[in-house]
Amino acid sequence: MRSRIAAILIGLLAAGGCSDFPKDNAETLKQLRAGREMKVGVAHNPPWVVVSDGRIDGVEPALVTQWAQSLGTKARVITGPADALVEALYKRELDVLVMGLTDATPHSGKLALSQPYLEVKTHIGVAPGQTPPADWTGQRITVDPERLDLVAQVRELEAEPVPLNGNGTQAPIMAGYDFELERRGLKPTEDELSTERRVMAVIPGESALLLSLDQFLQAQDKEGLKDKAMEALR
Amino acid sequence: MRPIENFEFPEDKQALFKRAQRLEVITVFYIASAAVALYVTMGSSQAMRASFFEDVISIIPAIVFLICSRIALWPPNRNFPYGYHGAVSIGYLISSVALVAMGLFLLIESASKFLSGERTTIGGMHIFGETIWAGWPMLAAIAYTGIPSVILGHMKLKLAPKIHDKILYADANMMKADWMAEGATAIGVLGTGVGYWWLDPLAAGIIALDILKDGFSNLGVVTADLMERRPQKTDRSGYETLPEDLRRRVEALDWVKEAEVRLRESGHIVLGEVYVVPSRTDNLPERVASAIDDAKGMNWRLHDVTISVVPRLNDDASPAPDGQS
Repeated sequence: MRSRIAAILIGLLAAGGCSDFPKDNAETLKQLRAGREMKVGVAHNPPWVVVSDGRIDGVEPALVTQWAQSLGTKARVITGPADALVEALYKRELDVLVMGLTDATPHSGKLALSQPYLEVKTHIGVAPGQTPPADWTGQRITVDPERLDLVAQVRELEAEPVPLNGNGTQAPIMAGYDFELERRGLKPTEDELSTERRVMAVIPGESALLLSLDQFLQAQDKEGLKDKAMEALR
Repeated sequence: MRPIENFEFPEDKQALFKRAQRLEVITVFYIASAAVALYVTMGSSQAMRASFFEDVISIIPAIVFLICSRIALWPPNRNFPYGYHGAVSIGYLISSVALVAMGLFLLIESASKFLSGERTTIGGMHIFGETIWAGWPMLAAIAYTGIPSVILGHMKLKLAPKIHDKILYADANMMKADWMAEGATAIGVLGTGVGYWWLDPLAAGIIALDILKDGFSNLGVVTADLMERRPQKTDRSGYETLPEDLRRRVEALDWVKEAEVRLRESGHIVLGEVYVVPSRTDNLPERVASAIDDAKGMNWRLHDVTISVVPRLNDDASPAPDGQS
Protein backbone atom coordinates (compact mmCIF):
# COMPACT_ATOMS: atom_id res chain seq x y z
CA MET A 1 0.00 0.00 0.00
CA ARG A 2 2.76 2.42 0.96
CA SER A 3 4.77 1.82 -2.16
CA ARG A 4 1.59 2.36 -4.17
CA ILE A 5 0.99 5.71 -2.49
CA ALA A 6 4.61 6.70 -3.12
CA ALA A 7 4.22 5.73 -6.77
CA ILE A 8 1.08 7.84 -7.11
CA LEU A 9 2.78 10.82 -5.47
CA ILE A 10 5.81 10.57 -7.71
CA GLY A 11 3.56 10.13 -10.74
CA LEU A 12 1.57 13.21 -9.84
CA LEU A 13 4.70 15.30 -9.36
CA ALA A 14 6.07 14.11 -12.67
CA ALA A 15 2.75 14.82 -14.39
CA GLY A 16 2.66 18.25 -12.81
CA GLY A 17 6.11 19.20 -13.95
CA CYS A 18 7.67 21.06 -11.04
CA SER A 19 8.37 24.23 -13.00
CA ASP A 20 4.69 24.83 -13.67
CA PHE A 21 3.26 24.21 -10.21
CA PRO A 22 0.53 24.59 -9.08
CA LYS A 23 -1.68 24.27 -12.15
CA ASP A 24 -5.26 25.30 -12.80
CA ASN A 25 -7.99 22.79 -13.43
CA ALA A 26 -9.04 24.68 -16.57
CA GLU A 27 -5.92 26.77 -17.32
CA THR A 28 -7.61 30.08 -16.53
CA LEU A 29 -4.38 31.85 -15.56
CA LYS A 30 -2.70 30.73 -18.77
CA GLN A 31 -5.60 32.12 -20.84
CA LEU A 32 -5.56 35.45 -18.98
CA ARG A 33 -1.82 35.75 -19.45
CA ALA A 34 -2.40 35.13 -23.14
CA GLY A 35 -4.62 38.20 -23.20
CA ARG A 36 -8.16 36.89 -22.63
CA GLU A 37 -10.35 39.47 -20.94
CA MET A 38 -10.80 38.93 -17.20
CA LYS A 39 -14.48 38.68 -16.32
CA VAL A 40 -14.99 40.22 -12.91
CA GLY A 41 -18.30 39.93 -11.05
CA VAL A 42 -19.00 42.84 -8.71
CA ALA A 43 -21.76 43.51 -6.20
CA HIS A 44 -22.29 46.67 -4.17
CA ASN A 45 -20.77 46.49 -0.69
CA PRO A 46 -19.31 49.82 0.37
CA PRO A 47 -16.55 50.78 0.81
CA TRP A 48 -15.04 47.62 -0.73
CA VAL A 49 -17.21 47.71 -3.83
CA VAL A 50 -19.32 50.73 -4.71
CA VAL A 51 -21.78 50.50 -7.59
CA SER A 52 -23.72 53.70 -8.13
CA ASP A 53 -25.31 55.12 -11.29
CA GLY A 54 -23.43 52.65 -13.46
CA ARG A 55 -20.10 53.79 -12.00
CA ILE A 56 -17.98 51.24 -10.25
CA ASP A 57 -15.62 52.29 -7.52
CA GLY A 58 -14.15 51.05 -4.27
CA VAL A 59 -11.11 49.19 -3.03
CA GLU A 60 -11.62 45.81 -4.67
CA PRO A 61 -12.50 46.80 -8.26
CA ALA A 62 -9.39 49.00 -8.25
CA LEU A 63 -7.26 46.11 -7.03
CA VAL A 64 -8.62 43.67 -9.59
CA THR A 65 -8.10 46.14 -12.45
CA GLN A 66 -4.47 46.48 -11.39
CA TRP A 67 -4.05 42.72 -11.08
CA ALA A 68 -5.48 42.18 -14.58
CA GLN A 69 -3.01 44.76 -15.91
CA SER A 70 -0.14 42.99 -14.18
CA LEU A 71 -1.16 39.78 -16.00
CA GLY A 72 -1.25 41.66 -19.29
CA THR A 73 -5.00 41.72 -19.80
CA LYS A 74 -8.01 43.91 -19.06
CA ALA A 75 -10.80 43.48 -16.53
CA ARG A 76 -14.40 43.58 -17.69
CA VAL A 77 -16.84 44.23 -14.88
CA ILE A 78 -20.20 42.49 -14.65
CA THR A 79 -22.66 43.55 -11.95
CA GLY A 80 -25.48 41.48 -10.58
CA PRO A 81 -27.11 40.12 -7.44
CA ALA A 82 -24.65 38.34 -5.14
CA ASP A 83 -26.23 34.88 -5.40
CA ALA A 84 -26.27 34.95 -9.19
CA LEU A 85 -22.62 36.03 -9.24
CA VAL A 86 -21.56 33.20 -6.92
CA GLU A 87 -23.35 30.69 -9.14
CA ALA A 88 -21.84 32.22 -12.29
CA LEU A 89 -18.32 32.02 -10.82
CA TYR A 90 -18.84 28.38 -9.87
CA LYS A 91 -19.94 27.65 -13.44
CA ARG A 92 -16.85 29.46 -14.81
CA GLU A 93 -18.88 32.27 -16.38
CA LEU A 94 -16.74 34.66 -14.32
CA ASP A 95 -13.04 34.55 -13.43
CA VAL A 96 -13.04 36.65 -10.29
CA LEU A 97 -15.67 37.78 -7.83
CA VAL A 98 -15.41 40.89 -5.67
CA MET A 99 -18.28 41.87 -3.41
CA GLY A 100 -16.69 42.75 -0.11
CA LEU A 101 -16.38 39.12 0.92
CA THR A 102 -14.88 38.14 4.26
CA ASP A 103 -13.30 34.80 5.09
CA ALA A 104 -16.49 33.97 7.05
CA THR A 105 -18.65 34.02 3.92
CA PRO A 106 -21.38 31.37 3.83
CA HIS A 107 -20.58 30.83 0.13
CA SER A 108 -17.12 29.39 0.86
CA GLY A 109 -18.07 25.96 -0.52
CA LYS A 110 -18.65 27.41 -3.98
CA LEU A 111 -15.79 29.88 -4.07
CA ALA A 112 -12.02 29.67 -4.01
CA LEU A 113 -11.19 32.36 -1.46
CA SER A 114 -7.97 34.35 -1.46
CA GLN A 115 -5.90 34.90 1.64
CA PRO A 116 -7.20 37.90 3.59
CA TYR A 117 -5.67 40.99 1.97
CA LEU A 118 -6.70 43.29 4.80
CA GLU A 119 -7.88 42.79 8.36
CA VAL A 120 -10.16 45.50 9.69
CA LYS A 121 -11.90 45.88 13.01
CA THR A 122 -15.07 47.81 13.71
CA HIS A 123 -15.34 49.84 16.88
CA ILE A 124 -17.41 52.60 18.35
CA GLY A 125 -15.54 55.90 18.28
CA VAL A 126 -15.99 58.91 20.51
CA ALA A 127 -14.56 62.42 20.31
CA PRO A 128 -11.02 62.61 21.75
CA GLY A 129 -11.05 63.51 25.42
CA GLN A 130 -14.58 62.27 25.87
CA THR A 131 -15.01 59.34 28.27
CA PRO A 132 -17.05 56.57 26.67
CA PRO A 133 -20.15 55.58 28.68
CA ALA A 134 -19.94 52.34 30.69
CA ASP A 135 -23.00 50.97 28.93
CA TRP A 136 -24.15 51.65 25.37
CA THR A 137 -27.83 50.92 26.11
CA GLY A 138 -30.02 53.69 24.74
CA GLN A 139 -27.04 55.69 23.39
CA ARG A 140 -27.46 57.35 20.00
CA ILE A 141 -24.71 56.00 17.75
CA THR A 142 -24.20 57.29 14.24
CA VAL A 143 -23.96 54.59 11.56
CA ASP A 144 -23.84 54.61 7.80
CA PRO A 145 -27.35 53.24 7.05
CA GLU A 146 -26.07 51.39 3.98
CA ARG A 147 -23.83 49.18 6.10
CA LEU A 148 -26.42 46.79 7.41
CA ASP A 149 -24.08 44.53 9.39
CA LEU A 150 -22.82 47.55 11.30
CA VAL A 151 -26.37 48.74 12.01
CA ALA A 152 -27.17 45.26 13.35
CA GLN A 153 -24.08 45.29 15.59
CA VAL A 154 -25.13 48.62 17.05
CA ARG A 155 -28.62 47.29 17.72
CA GLU A 156 -27.10 44.28 19.48
CA LEU A 157 -25.61 46.69 22.01
CA GLU A 158 -29.19 47.94 22.57
CA ALA A 159 -28.05 51.34 21.34
CA GLU A 160 -30.00 53.45 18.91
CA PRO A 161 -28.52 53.68 15.42
CA VAL A 162 -28.72 57.18 13.92
CA PRO A 163 -28.25 57.48 10.16
CA LEU A 164 -25.10 59.33 9.13
CA ASN A 165 -26.01 62.51 7.30
CA GLY A 166 -24.03 63.62 4.33
CA ASN A 167 -23.57 67.26 5.37
CA GLY A 168 -20.24 66.61 7.05
CA THR A 169 -21.23 67.54 10.59
CA GLN A 170 -19.18 65.69 13.16
CA ALA A 171 -21.07 62.91 14.97
CA PRO A 172 -20.19 62.65 18.68
CA ILE A 173 -20.46 58.85 18.80
CA MET A 174 -20.07 56.76 15.72
CA ALA A 175 -19.62 53.12 14.75
CA GLY A 176 -17.24 52.21 11.97
CA TYR A 177 -13.87 50.79 10.96
CA ASP A 178 -10.87 51.75 13.08
CA PHE A 179 -9.18 53.56 10.24
CA GLU A 180 -12.43 55.31 9.38
CA LEU A 181 -12.96 56.60 12.93
CA GLU A 182 -9.35 57.78 13.15
CA ARG A 183 -9.56 59.56 9.84
CA ARG A 184 -12.78 61.23 10.98
CA GLY A 185 -11.04 62.51 14.08
CA LEU A 186 -12.67 60.12 16.54
CA LYS A 187 -11.02 57.84 19.07
CA PRO A 188 -11.98 54.14 18.87
CA THR A 189 -13.14 52.82 22.25
CA GLU A 190 -12.08 49.47 23.63
CA ASP A 191 -15.30 47.65 22.73
CA GLU A 192 -14.64 45.76 19.53
CA LEU A 193 -17.72 45.11 17.42
CA SER A 194 -16.17 42.77 14.88
CA THR A 195 -13.02 41.73 13.04
CA GLU A 196 -13.30 41.28 9.31
CA ARG A 197 -10.72 39.60 7.12
CA ARG A 198 -11.39 40.86 3.62
CA VAL A 199 -11.02 38.37 0.78
CA MET A 200 -11.76 38.01 -2.93
CA ALA A 201 -12.77 34.89 -4.81
CA VAL A 202 -11.75 33.09 -7.99
CA ILE A 203 -13.14 30.02 -9.80
CA PRO A 204 -12.84 27.00 -7.51
CA GLY A 205 -10.29 24.46 -8.74
CA GLU A 206 -7.99 27.14 -10.20
CA SER A 207 -5.03 26.97 -7.83
CA ALA A 208 -2.56 28.81 -10.06
CA LEU A 209 -5.00 31.69 -10.53
CA LEU A 210 -5.58 31.87 -6.79
CA LEU A 211 -1.86 31.82 -6.01
CA SER A 212 -1.29 34.62 -8.52
CA LEU A 213 -4.03 36.71 -6.86
CA ASP A 214 -2.62 35.99 -3.40
CA GLN A 215 0.85 37.07 -4.48
CA PHE A 216 -0.53 40.26 -6.01
CA LEU A 217 -2.62 41.10 -2.93
CA GLN A 218 0.21 40.41 -0.51
CA ALA A 219 2.35 43.05 -2.24
CA GLN A 220 -0.24 45.81 -1.67
CA ASP A 221 0.29 48.62 0.81
CA LYS A 222 -2.31 48.14 3.56
CA GLU A 223 -2.47 51.81 4.55
CA GLY A 224 -3.01 52.72 0.92
CA LEU A 225 -5.96 50.35 0.82
CA LYS A 226 -7.43 51.97 3.93
CA ASP A 227 -7.04 55.41 2.33
CA LYS A 228 -8.80 54.11 -0.74
CA ALA A 229 -11.62 52.69 1.42
CA MET A 230 -11.93 56.05 3.15
CA GLU A 231 -12.32 57.78 -0.20
CA ALA A 232 -15.13 55.41 -1.09
CA LEU A 233 -16.83 56.11 2.23
CA ARG A 234 -17.01 59.87 1.61
CA MET B 1 -15.94 -18.80 45.04
CA ARG B 2 -12.40 -19.87 44.49
CA PRO B 3 -10.54 -17.33 42.36
CA ILE B 4 -7.89 -18.35 39.82
CA GLU B 5 -4.29 -17.54 40.60
CA ASN B 6 -2.98 -14.04 40.13
CA PHE B 7 -1.51 -13.54 36.66
CA GLU B 8 1.76 -11.85 35.90
CA PHE B 9 3.56 -11.70 32.58
CA PRO B 10 6.74 -13.81 32.51
CA GLU B 11 9.87 -11.71 32.85
CA ASP B 12 10.71 -11.40 29.14
CA LYS B 13 7.08 -10.53 28.30
CA GLN B 14 6.94 -8.02 31.13
CA ALA B 15 9.61 -5.95 29.41
CA LEU B 16 7.60 -6.09 26.17
CA PHE B 17 4.41 -5.11 27.99
CA LYS B 18 6.18 -2.11 29.54
CA ARG B 19 7.40 -1.20 26.07
CA ALA B 20 3.84 -1.37 24.73
CA GLN B 21 2.66 0.88 27.54
CA ARG B 22 5.43 3.38 26.75
CA LEU B 23 4.48 3.34 23.06
CA GLU B 24 0.85 4.01 23.93
CA VAL B 25 1.71 6.87 26.28
CA ILE B 26 3.79 8.40 23.48
CA THR B 27 0.85 7.88 21.10
CA VAL B 28 -1.62 9.59 23.43
CA PHE B 29 0.63 12.61 23.87
CA TYR B 30 1.48 12.79 20.20
CA ILE B 31 -2.13 12.60 18.99
CA ALA B 32 -3.35 14.91 21.76
CA SER B 33 -0.77 17.54 20.82
CA ALA B 34 -1.78 17.31 17.17
CA ALA B 35 -5.46 17.56 18.12
CA VAL B 36 -4.88 20.60 20.30
CA ALA B 37 -2.92 22.28 17.52
CA LEU B 38 -5.71 21.56 15.06
CA TYR B 39 -8.39 22.74 17.46
CA VAL B 40 -6.59 26.02 18.03
CA THR B 41 -6.03 26.66 14.32
CA MET B 42 -9.14 25.14 12.78
CA GLY B 43 -11.28 28.27 12.62
CA SER B 44 -14.10 27.67 10.17
CA SER B 45 -12.24 25.26 7.92
CA GLN B 46 -14.24 22.08 7.34
CA ALA B 47 -11.16 20.08 6.38
CA MET B 48 -9.38 21.04 9.59
CA ARG B 49 -12.49 20.21 11.63
CA ALA B 50 -12.58 16.77 9.99
CA SER B 51 -8.90 16.22 10.86
CA PHE B 52 -9.65 17.15 14.44
CA PHE B 53 -12.47 14.61 14.76
CA GLU B 54 -10.24 12.05 13.09
CA ASP B 55 -7.62 12.65 15.78
CA VAL B 56 -10.18 12.37 18.55
CA ILE B 57 -11.31 8.98 17.20
CA SER B 58 -7.79 7.70 16.61
CA ILE B 59 -6.69 8.39 20.18
CA ILE B 60 -9.36 5.98 21.53
CA PRO B 61 -7.51 2.64 21.13
CA ALA B 62 -4.38 4.00 22.79
CA ILE B 63 -6.32 5.25 25.82
CA VAL B 64 -8.36 2.06 25.95
CA PHE B 65 -5.15 -0.01 25.91
CA LEU B 66 -3.66 1.94 28.80
CA ILE B 67 -6.80 1.51 30.90
CA CYS B 68 -7.90 -2.02 30.02
CA SER B 69 -4.48 -3.68 29.99
CA ARG B 70 -3.96 -2.36 33.49
CA ILE B 71 -7.37 -3.52 34.72
CA ALA B 72 -6.69 -6.95 33.21
CA LEU B 73 -3.81 -7.42 35.66
CA TRP B 74 -5.89 -6.71 38.76
CA PRO B 75 -5.78 -9.79 41.00
CA PRO B 76 -8.79 -12.11 40.87
CA ASN B 77 -11.06 -12.05 43.91
CA ARG B 78 -14.22 -13.66 45.24
CA ASN B 79 -16.46 -11.48 43.11
CA PHE B 80 -14.33 -11.81 39.98
CA PRO B 81 -13.03 -15.38 40.35
CA TYR B 82 -11.71 -15.43 36.75
CA GLY B 83 -9.93 -12.14 37.25
CA TYR B 84 -10.32 -9.08 35.05
CA HIS B 85 -8.85 -10.47 31.83
CA GLY B 86 -12.11 -9.90 29.97
CA ALA B 87 -11.29 -6.18 30.11
CA VAL B 88 -8.95 -6.78 27.18
CA SER B 89 -11.82 -8.05 25.02
CA ILE B 90 -14.00 -5.13 26.05
CA GLY B 91 -11.19 -2.73 25.15
CA TYR B 92 -10.73 -4.53 21.86
CA LEU B 93 -14.44 -4.12 21.15
CA ILE B 94 -14.27 -0.37 21.86
CA SER B 95 -11.19 -0.01 19.65
CA SER B 96 -12.79 -1.93 16.80
CA VAL B 97 -15.89 0.23 16.97
CA ALA B 98 -13.63 3.31 16.91
CA LEU B 99 -11.95 1.97 13.78
CA VAL B 100 -15.31 1.40 12.08
CA ALA B 101 -16.41 4.90 13.14
CA MET B 102 -13.23 6.37 11.64
CA GLY B 103 -13.84 4.59 8.33
CA LEU B 104 -17.49 5.64 8.19
CA PHE B 105 -16.63 9.20 9.09
CA LEU B 106 -14.02 9.49 6.34
CA LEU B 107 -16.28 7.77 3.81
CA ILE B 108 -19.23 10.07 4.49
CA GLU B 109 -16.90 13.07 4.43
CA SER B 110 -15.39 12.26 1.07
CA ALA B 111 -18.70 11.17 -0.46
CA SER B 112 -20.46 14.37 0.55
CA LYS B 113 -17.52 16.39 -0.71
CA PHE B 114 -17.62 14.57 -4.01
CA LEU B 115 -21.39 14.90 -4.39
CA SER B 116 -21.53 18.56 -3.39
CA GLY B 117 -19.04 19.30 -6.16
CA GLU B 118 -16.89 21.34 -3.82
CA ARG B 119 -13.70 21.86 -5.81
CA THR B 120 -10.59 22.04 -3.68
CA THR B 121 -8.42 25.03 -4.50
CA ILE B 122 -5.08 25.74 -2.88
CA GLY B 123 -3.70 29.22 -3.33
CA GLY B 124 -1.00 31.17 -1.57
CA MET B 125 0.12 31.39 2.02
CA HIS B 126 2.00 34.27 3.55
CA ILE B 127 5.14 33.21 5.39
CA PHE B 128 7.88 35.63 6.43
CA GLY B 129 6.70 38.26 3.97
CA GLU B 130 6.69 35.83 1.05
CA THR B 131 3.68 34.27 -0.61
CA ILE B 132 4.31 30.63 -1.42
CA TRP B 133 1.98 27.91 -2.64
CA ALA B 134 0.05 26.79 0.47
CA GLY B 135 0.32 23.16 -0.64
CA TRP B 136 3.98 22.98 0.44
CA PRO B 137 3.42 23.84 4.11
CA MET B 138 0.37 21.54 4.05
CA LEU B 139 2.50 18.66 2.82
CA ALA B 140 5.08 19.43 5.50
CA ALA B 141 2.35 19.34 8.15
CA ILE B 142 1.02 16.06 6.74
CA ALA B 143 4.49 14.53 6.83
CA TYR B 144 4.98 15.77 10.38
CA THR B 145 1.75 14.22 11.61
CA GLY B 146 1.81 11.13 9.40
CA ILE B 147 5.36 9.81 9.78
CA PRO B 148 5.16 9.13 13.56
CA SER B 149 2.00 7.09 12.86
CA VAL B 150 3.91 4.92 10.41
CA ILE B 151 6.70 4.27 12.93
CA LEU B 152 4.44 3.76 15.96
CA GLY B 153 2.06 1.58 13.97
CA HIS B 154 4.89 -0.64 12.80
CA MET B 155 6.30 -1.08 16.31
CA LYS B 156 2.87 -1.94 17.72
CA LEU B 157 2.12 -4.40 14.94
CA LYS B 158 5.29 -6.33 15.79
CA LEU B 159 4.73 -6.13 19.54
CA ALA B 160 1.05 -7.11 19.68
CA PRO B 161 1.39 -10.84 18.82
CA LYS B 162 4.28 -11.23 21.28
CA ILE B 163 2.20 -10.25 24.29
CA HIS B 164 -1.07 -11.46 22.74
CA ASP B 165 -2.71 -8.10 23.15
CA LYS B 166 -5.50 -7.50 20.68
CA ILE B 167 -6.16 -3.90 21.71
CA LEU B 168 -2.60 -3.16 20.73
CA TYR B 169 -3.24 -4.93 17.44
CA ALA B 170 -6.38 -2.86 16.79
CA ASP B 171 -4.40 0.24 17.67
CA ALA B 172 -1.72 -0.71 15.16
CA ASN B 173 -4.53 -0.87 12.59
CA MET B 174 -5.68 2.56 13.75
CA MET B 175 -2.18 3.97 13.26
CA LYS B 176 -2.20 2.51 9.78
CA ALA B 177 -5.60 4.11 9.18
CA ASP B 178 -4.12 7.36 10.41
CA TRP B 179 -1.15 7.49 8.10
CA MET B 180 -3.17 6.23 5.16
CA ALA B 181 -5.68 9.02 5.70
CA GLU B 182 -2.75 11.44 5.82
CA GLY B 183 -1.47 9.89 2.61
CA ALA B 184 -4.87 10.47 1.01
CA THR B 185 -4.71 14.10 2.05
CA ALA B 186 -1.24 14.40 0.55
CA ILE B 187 -2.48 12.89 -2.73
CA GLY B 188 -5.38 15.33 -2.58
CA VAL B 189 -3.05 18.30 -2.07
CA LEU B 190 -0.72 17.28 -4.89
CA GLY B 191 -3.70 16.43 -7.10
CA THR B 192 -5.09 19.90 -6.54
CA GLY B 193 -1.66 21.25 -7.40
CA VAL B 194 -1.73 19.61 -10.82
CA GLY B 195 -5.30 20.77 -11.41
CA TYR B 196 -7.13 17.53 -10.56
CA TRP B 197 -9.29 18.74 -7.69
CA TRP B 198 -11.34 15.50 -7.72
CA LEU B 199 -8.32 13.45 -6.63
CA ASP B 200 -8.82 14.79 -3.10
CA PRO B 201 -12.22 13.19 -2.33
CA LEU B 202 -11.42 10.15 -4.47
CA ALA B 203 -8.22 9.27 -2.60
CA ALA B 204 -9.97 9.86 0.72
CA GLY B 205 -12.89 7.65 -0.31
CA ILE B 206 -10.72 4.70 -1.35
CA ILE B 207 -8.73 4.87 1.86
CA ALA B 208 -11.93 5.19 3.92
CA LEU B 209 -13.10 1.89 2.42
CA ASP B 210 -9.81 0.23 3.38
CA ILE B 211 -10.10 1.51 6.96
CA LEU B 212 -13.71 0.36 7.11
CA LYS B 213 -12.64 -3.12 5.99
CA ASP B 214 -10.03 -3.23 8.79
CA GLY B 215 -12.61 -2.03 11.27
CA PHE B 216 -15.20 -4.65 10.36
CA SER B 217 -12.68 -7.50 10.37
CA ASN B 218 -11.54 -6.46 13.87
CA LEU B 219 -15.16 -6.19 14.94
CA GLY B 220 -15.76 -9.73 13.65
CA VAL B 221 -12.80 -11.09 15.58
CA VAL B 222 -13.76 -9.40 18.83
CA THR B 223 -17.36 -10.60 18.54
CA ALA B 224 -16.08 -14.16 18.10
CA ASP B 225 -13.68 -13.66 21.02
CA LEU B 226 -16.51 -12.55 23.27
CA MET B 227 -18.40 -15.67 22.24
CA GLU B 228 -15.34 -17.69 23.30
CA ARG B 229 -14.32 -19.07 19.96
CA ARG B 230 -11.20 -21.29 20.11
CA PRO B 231 -8.02 -19.26 20.64
CA GLN B 232 -6.80 -17.50 17.52
CA LYS B 233 -3.41 -15.97 16.87
CA THR B 234 -3.29 -12.24 17.58
CA ASP B 235 -2.04 -11.40 14.09
CA ARG B 236 -4.84 -13.62 12.65
CA SER B 237 -2.42 -15.92 10.89
CA GLY B 238 -4.48 -18.90 12.09
CA TYR B 239 -5.61 -20.75 15.18
CA GLU B 240 -3.36 -21.20 18.17
CA THR B 241 -1.73 -24.62 18.29
CA LEU B 242 -1.84 -24.54 22.09
CA PRO B 243 -4.94 -26.80 22.50
CA GLU B 244 -3.42 -29.52 20.34
CA ASP B 245 -0.02 -29.16 22.08
CA LEU B 246 -1.73 -29.52 25.44
CA ARG B 247 -3.67 -32.59 24.36
CA ARG B 248 -0.50 -34.30 23.13
CA ARG B 249 1.37 -33.39 26.28
CA VAL B 250 -1.31 -34.84 28.51
CA GLU B 251 -1.67 -37.97 26.38
CA ALA B 252 2.08 -38.50 26.67
CA LEU B 253 1.73 -39.02 30.43
CA ASP B 254 2.15 -42.68 31.35
CA TRP B 255 -1.15 -42.93 33.23
CA VAL B 256 -3.26 -41.35 30.48
CA LYS B 257 -4.95 -43.41 27.82
CA GLU B 258 -6.69 -40.61 25.92
CA ALA B 259 -7.33 -36.92 26.44
CA GLU B 260 -9.34 -34.08 25.02
CA VAL B 261 -9.18 -30.35 25.76
CA ARG B 262 -11.49 -27.36 25.68
CA LEU B 263 -9.75 -24.00 25.93
CA ARG B 264 -10.89 -20.41 25.78
CA GLU B 265 -9.07 -17.13 25.62
CA SER B 266 -9.60 -14.42 28.17
CA GLY B 267 -7.54 -11.41 27.25
CA HIS B 268 -3.86 -12.32 27.50
CA ILE B 269 -4.46 -15.70 29.14
CA VAL B 270 -6.02 -19.05 28.23
CA LEU B 271 -8.26 -21.08 30.52
CA GLY B 272 -9.95 -24.43 30.07
CA GLU B 273 -10.56 -28.06 30.78
CA VAL B 274 -8.82 -31.32 29.98
CA TYR B 275 -10.80 -34.57 29.86
CA VAL B 276 -8.67 -37.58 30.63
CA VAL B 277 -9.35 -41.30 30.32
CA PRO B 278 -6.83 -42.88 32.74
CA SER B 279 -5.09 -46.15 32.05
CA ARG B 280 -4.09 -46.43 35.74
CA THR B 281 -5.96 -45.07 38.72
CA ASP B 282 -3.46 -45.55 41.55
CA ASN B 283 -2.41 -42.25 43.21
CA LEU B 284 -4.91 -40.51 40.95
CA PRO B 285 -5.28 -37.21 42.92
CA GLU B 286 -1.49 -36.73 42.99
CA ARG B 287 -1.15 -37.61 39.31
CA VAL B 288 -3.88 -35.10 38.35
CA ALA B 289 -2.33 -32.35 40.46
CA SER B 290 1.11 -32.86 38.92
CA ALA B 291 -0.42 -32.97 35.42
CA ILE B 292 -2.06 -29.59 36.06
CA ASP B 293 1.25 -28.10 37.19
CA ASP B 294 2.96 -29.58 34.15
CA ALA B 295 0.31 -28.14 31.81
CA LYS B 296 0.57 -24.66 33.33
CA GLY B 297 4.33 -24.76 32.92
CA MET B 298 4.22 -25.49 29.20
CA ASN B 299 3.03 -22.02 28.09
CA TRP B 300 2.83 -18.78 29.99
CA ARG B 301 -0.61 -18.05 28.58
CA LEU B 302 -2.10 -21.29 29.87
CA HIS B 303 -2.99 -19.88 33.25
CA ASP B 304 -5.55 -22.28 34.63
CA VAL B 305 -6.68 -25.76 33.62
CA THR B 306 -9.02 -28.22 35.21
CA ILE B 307 -8.59 -31.93 34.65
CA SER B 308 -11.67 -34.09 34.64
CA VAL B 309 -11.13 -37.81 34.87
CA VAL B 310 -13.74 -39.61 32.78
CA PRO B 311 -14.36 -43.28 31.92
CA ARG B 312 -14.43 -42.62 28.13
CA LEU B 313 -14.36 -39.68 25.74
CA ASN B 314 -17.68 -38.62 24.40
CA ASP B 315 -17.10 -38.80 20.65
CA ASP B 316 -20.56 -37.58 19.66
CA ALA B 317 -20.21 -34.23 21.37
CA SER B 318 -16.75 -33.39 20.12
CA PRO B 319 -16.18 -31.77 16.76
CA ALA B 320 -13.48 -32.80 14.31
CA PRO B 321 -9.97 -32.89 15.87
CA ASP B 322 -8.97 -29.48 14.51
CA GLY B 323 -12.39 -28.00 15.09
CA GLN B 324 -12.69 -26.61 11.59
CA SER B 325 -16.09 -28.15 10.91
